[in-house]
Amino acid sequence: MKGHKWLVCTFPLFLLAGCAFENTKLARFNREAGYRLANLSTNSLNSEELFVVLSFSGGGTRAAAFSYGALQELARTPITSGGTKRRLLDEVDIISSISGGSFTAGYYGLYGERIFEDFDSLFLKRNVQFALALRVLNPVNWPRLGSPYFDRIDLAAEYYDTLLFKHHTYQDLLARARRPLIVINATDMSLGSRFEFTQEQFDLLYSDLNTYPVSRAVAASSAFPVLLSPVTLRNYPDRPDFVEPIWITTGLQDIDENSRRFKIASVARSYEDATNRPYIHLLDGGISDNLGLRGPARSLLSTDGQDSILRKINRRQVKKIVIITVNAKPGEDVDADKHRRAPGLLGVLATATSAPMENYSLETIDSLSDKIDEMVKAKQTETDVLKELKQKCPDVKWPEVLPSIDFYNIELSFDRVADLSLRKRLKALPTSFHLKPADIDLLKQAAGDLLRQSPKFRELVNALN
Amino acid sequence: MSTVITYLTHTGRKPQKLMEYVIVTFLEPREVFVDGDVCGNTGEVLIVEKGTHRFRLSDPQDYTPQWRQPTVKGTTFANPMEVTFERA
Repeated sequence: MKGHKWLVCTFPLFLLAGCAFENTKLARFNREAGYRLANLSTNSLNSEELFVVLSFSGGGTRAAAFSYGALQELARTPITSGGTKRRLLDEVDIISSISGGSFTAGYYGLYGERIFEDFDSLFLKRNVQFALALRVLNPVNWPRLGSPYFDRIDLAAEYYDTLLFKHHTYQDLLARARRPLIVINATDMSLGSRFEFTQEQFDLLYSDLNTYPVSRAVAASSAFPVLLSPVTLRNYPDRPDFVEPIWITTGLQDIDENSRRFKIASVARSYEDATNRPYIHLLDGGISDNLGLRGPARSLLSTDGQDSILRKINRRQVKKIVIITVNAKPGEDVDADKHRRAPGLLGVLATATSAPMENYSLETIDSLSDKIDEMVKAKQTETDVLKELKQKCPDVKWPEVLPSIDFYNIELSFDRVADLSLRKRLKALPTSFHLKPADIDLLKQAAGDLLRQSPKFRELVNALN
Repeated sequence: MSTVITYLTHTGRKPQKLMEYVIVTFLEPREVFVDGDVCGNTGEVLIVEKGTHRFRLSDPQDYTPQWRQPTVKGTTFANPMEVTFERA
C-alpha cells in the first residue's frame, strides 16, 4: 500500500520531468513585431543595395562543415563598395538553413564572429552522434522518455542547448538587431510542406517566437525521420485580433492561374483552423527542401510575405542580388547494384527518405535559375529596345521601366570539385554527426576553394571593388 | 434540401511563365500596396507573381475604388496590365 502511495505521489513528477518545452501564445497580434527581416536593420557594413542570401543544405556534420567553410571564405573576402571597407560576410542579409546546415546558421546568428573561434572544436569535430546515443541509453532519462510528452528529439534539443545554444531564444537573436536573418527550416509532417522559424510563420499559430529556444528550432530542422521523433508546436485557437495576410486571401483564388501559389496559400490558411490542427508536428526540413533554397527562391519571385525580395526589387531598394547555395549533397551509392540480393529494410528506408529530397533539390535549383533568367532576359530586351529607339529618335527621352538588377547565382557542390579523387572522397562522406577531423578540414577547405574559384563569385568581387 | 457543390476547376498544368508586369496609375505620385504591403510607386512597372493581387494606394484615402483585385496574367514589361485609381 505504501509503495502504491509512493507511485501515485511521484508519477506526476515523472510526467512533469518528461514535459517538453511548449511554444507560448502571443500576448497580442502585431505583424510588425518580433523576429522579421524588417526588424534587423541595415548599417554602415550591411547595405540594402547589395542583398546577399546564403542557403545551407542538410547533410549532418558534412553540411555543417561545408557551410562553415563558406562563411570563412566570405569573412576572408574584402570589399570596398560605397567607399567603406568591409567583408562580404558583413553584407549577408538572410541565411536559410536545413538540418545539419542549421547548426552553423543558428550558431553564427547568435554569436557572430565567435563561430570562427570555437565552433570547430565545440561541434564540428565532436562526436555528437555518440553523445546523443549515450543520452538515450542513459537510464536516468528513461522515465522522461516514458512520458508521452517527451521524446528522443527533446533529449537532442537539450543536448544542443547545453553544448551550443545556452538557453538562448529568438529574443536573443532579435536583440542583436543586425542581419542576417536566420531562417531555420523544418517540415510540417501532416502537409509535407516547408515550415520556417520566423515570427511571420508563428503569427499563423498565434504564437510568440521570441520565447522559443534556438536549440529546439535546430532540433526540429534536423529531426531525421525514424531516427528522431518530431518536434511538436501548439497552434492556439483563441485569436480575436488575428488578421490574415491578404496574400493568403488572393492566393486562394489562383487554383488555375498559379497552382503553386494556391498550394502555399492553402497551407498557410490551414494553420488558422486551430480547432482541427491544435498541434503541429515538425520533422527534418530536408523532407520539404533539402537545400534551404525554397524560401529564398519564393521570396525572389513573389511579392507574398513580409520578407519578399521581389518587393525590394520593385521599390528599387536593391541593385545586386547574390544567392549562394551551399549544397552538401553526397554521391549516389551504387554499392547495392554489385549484389544480386536486394537491399534490406534499412537500405530501402534510406532510399525512400533521401531520394525524393535529392530530386526535389535539383528541381529547386533549376526553377530558381529559370526565373532569374526570365528577369535578366526581360531587362536585356528592354535595354536593346531602348538602345535602338535612342538611335532612331535621339531627341526623345525614353524611360527605363524595369528595375535594374545584377544577379549572382552561385552554387557550391561536390560535383564542382575538379579533382576526381577529391570529389569522390567528399561525395562518399556519410550523413552523420560524426566525421574524422581531417574530413572536416577538407570540407571547409573545399567550400572556400570552390567559392573563390566560382566565375560568378569572382565577377561579384570585381564588381564590388 | 439540396446540396450545392461548387466545382473548383483545376487543370493541373504547371505555369510556365510566372512573372507578370503591372503599372498602377493615379493623378499624383503615391506608394502602391500589393496584397497589404508597400511594393513600389505609381507610374512604375512593378513585377508581380502571376495570379490574383489586391492593389491599393497609400494615404490619404481620396481615391476610388478602395482597392482593385485583378488576376494578372499574359503581360509583358512592354505591355503591362494597367490598374487605375481615380480621385474620389
